[in-house]
Amino acid sequence: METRITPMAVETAREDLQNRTLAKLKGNFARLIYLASTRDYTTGRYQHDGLANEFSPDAAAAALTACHQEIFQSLATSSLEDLVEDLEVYARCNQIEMSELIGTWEKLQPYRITPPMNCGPLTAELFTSNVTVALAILRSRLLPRERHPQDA
Amino acid sequence: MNWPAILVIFFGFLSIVWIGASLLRGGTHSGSTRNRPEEQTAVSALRAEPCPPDVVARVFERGDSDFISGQHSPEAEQLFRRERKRLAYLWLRHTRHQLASVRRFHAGMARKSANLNPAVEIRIVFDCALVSGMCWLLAAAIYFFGPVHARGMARYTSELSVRLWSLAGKSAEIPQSPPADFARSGG
Repeated sequence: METRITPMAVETAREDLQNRTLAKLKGNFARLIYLASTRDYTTGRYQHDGLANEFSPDAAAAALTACHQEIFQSLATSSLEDLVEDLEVYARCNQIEMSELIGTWEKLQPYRITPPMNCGPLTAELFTSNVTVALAILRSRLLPRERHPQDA
Repeated sequence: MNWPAILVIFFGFLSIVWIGASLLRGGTHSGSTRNRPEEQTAVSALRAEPCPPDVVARVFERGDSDFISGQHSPEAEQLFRRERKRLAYLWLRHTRHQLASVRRFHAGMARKSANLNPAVEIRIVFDCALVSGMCWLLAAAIYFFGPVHARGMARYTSELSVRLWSLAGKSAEIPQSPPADFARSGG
């Protein structure tokens, strides 16, 4: 039997997700990566057991979709300066060395699979392009320190 | 006489020729459009929305260019300029593709339907010609001067293509949502 999800249920699930989970993550990059990770890469469906138990699987999926789209859109249209800052916050809050993050992301480019499925092609390309440039900027900032560590 | 005026006159002339040719081919009889496969394809092609204007604006934005210049990293700057050119051309390609869809659709509708609104049809033809001309100009401007210096033209072309898409959709009575609707965005 098909269960109907009401907009109210989706909105409540969304608020719950934002207040209890996303608010605890620092910066939009962390939130984007978290939301993208709740997506099954075989079916494209979002899954979150806690949210599904409290509301319903469909309401949880709809709330995750909406939050993912909102956060991605915000990041995709943010300035390069804000994106660089967001990446720095992400590395700092996750206690990752910037050089390690840059090296891994330049090789694996995991940010390419973070856009939502219904994202427009230009929006997705703009986002991945900006992240590529942001990594290059962050790498260039590391270089003087690497050359002259005694001046750091 | 400045170039925008020349452009408007030239494409206005082309539009009149195009309308005349369409009318000569004839487009009246049964009143309702037949659901031939090519019309269904053209109708569904109209559902490919233009890229959202805020995304297009970001591609041509000056602020990012100023920021990268201040980073004193020639490699990063070169990468940035190359990427932004690539994105600008990608948007142009998408706009041209959409324009071709609108043209195909309306060429089919003009042949089949007696219930066309002449004012709307003339507007669509004119806007198609204008967008097409702007795309050519933009391609040259991006190549020679870079996306930042073409941002005014890009904004105008983006708004025009959104208007054209809206007009075409209304003419076909296709329910539409604004391009900012993320779920069906073409951008």
